[in-house]
Amino acid sequence: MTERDLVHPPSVATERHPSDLAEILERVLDKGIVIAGDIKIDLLDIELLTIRLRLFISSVDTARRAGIDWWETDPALSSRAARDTLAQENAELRERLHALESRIGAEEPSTDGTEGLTSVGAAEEERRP
Amino acid sequence: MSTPVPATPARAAPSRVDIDRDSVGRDLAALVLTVVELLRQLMERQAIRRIDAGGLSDDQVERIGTTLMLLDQRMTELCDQHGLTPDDLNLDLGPLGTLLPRD
Amino acid sequence: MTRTEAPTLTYAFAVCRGGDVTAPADPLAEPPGLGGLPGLGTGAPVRTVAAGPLTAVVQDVPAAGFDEEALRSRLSDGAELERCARAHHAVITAASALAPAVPLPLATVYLDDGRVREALGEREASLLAALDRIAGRVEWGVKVYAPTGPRPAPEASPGDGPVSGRAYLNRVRTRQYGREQRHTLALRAAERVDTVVRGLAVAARRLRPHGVEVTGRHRTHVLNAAYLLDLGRERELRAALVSLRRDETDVQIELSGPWAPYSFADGGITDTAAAP
Repeated sequence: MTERDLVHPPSVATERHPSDLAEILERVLDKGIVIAGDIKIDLLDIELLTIRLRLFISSVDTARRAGIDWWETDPALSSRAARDTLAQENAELRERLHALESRIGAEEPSTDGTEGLTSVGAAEEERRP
Repeated sequence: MSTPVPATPARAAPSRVDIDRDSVGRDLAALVLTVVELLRQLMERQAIRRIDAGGLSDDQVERIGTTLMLLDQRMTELCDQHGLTPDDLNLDLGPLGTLLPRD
Repeated sequence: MTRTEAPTLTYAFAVCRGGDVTAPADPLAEPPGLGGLPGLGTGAPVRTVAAGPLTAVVQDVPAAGFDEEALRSRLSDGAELERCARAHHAVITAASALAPAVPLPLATVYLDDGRVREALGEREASLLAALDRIAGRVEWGVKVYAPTGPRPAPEASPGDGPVSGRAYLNRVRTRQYGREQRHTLALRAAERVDTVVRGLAVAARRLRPHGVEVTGRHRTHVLNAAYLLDLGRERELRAALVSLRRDETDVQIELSGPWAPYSFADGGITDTAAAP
């Protein structure tokens, strides 16, 4: 007698009993992780997300539709907002740097000017994910 | 499994499309009243424990009971006013179970 | 990888002993091999990657749809999560039907096949141990529910005359007591169910109880457990449940399975029962 006789593939029936999905999810989302993949996605986050969705679906969702969405632009609460803030900071810093360098270029012959630019460029390269 | 998985995921759609002022109020009220209901149940539990511990006069017991009964009636009225039933006043905390006991 | 092809990642479903499952499996074979499965529906075949004594069951997935951000967004959407979970489960179940297979969690994605081989190599010992542990065994799920109590009687209408404060408190106390009693009886019954099924199992594990959307309002989930049983004990298990259902009248008992050994492949975190 082999395993194939006894482990039945799930039926392709269209009827989906809710507890059937719950049982599949609790098994495939299990965090008793045997090996971790290269893509770091925390399955616990997914579970917490579904809890949070249940808890807040009536407040966040309706609040947003009422125009209350301050958390979406707060860098501490939204990664998108954080990236936007960072991008804005970068742009401002580059402008200031450009202004400073133009002034230095006007005052003295720039032998080290280009090197300075390259090293700044390298630093920026490292910072970009 | 015959339904193919899309190559890139669609943006998660909002659960409701209608922007209904009443439903905004009702959902926020449900959250607030759930917390109030939790406190009310805790107070009842505490009161019964205190009474069972003994040492209270009949008059005191009667007063505590009447207060809690009025509080219960008030909660029912508040629910009615917001179009809510007692079942609406629960929070499912997933692995932690429900916030309020489900009798 | 040419510029004209979209970059892909390697999605891993399960790990088997090398040679137990082959790639590419013949889709026309009986029983159907892995190659005929749609998997995640990306169009690429379900195939295997070998690394020493182990073989991983994998599928190419588009990087655009399965990198970190895309995956998080995908799995945050209820319908997508269900589709992925069922697809993942289908491949694992098919693999388990062919040979002992260690299921991997949803969304175990590698940059390429080489990384899969590295990962298998790193965990070779524990994976082989896991395969030994599950070979010739299947998982069964047992769920025990307690019915919720009767709805509290509606408050006396004003015409009935005032209810005393003390009477009100007595009503509340009775309801609380009833609830606690039901809960205690249900827990004791669940313990008895667990003890009986453990007696037939080589390992057991408690899972989280389900919430009200799954159980319905008429009952609460008291025990959610997974048991690893030798093949061939199915009949004993079903007979045991028949007796339990007859004896334990306070609770409802559900059996699900057989499952691929999802709950028992994690390297020793489970508590093992002493098999008789």
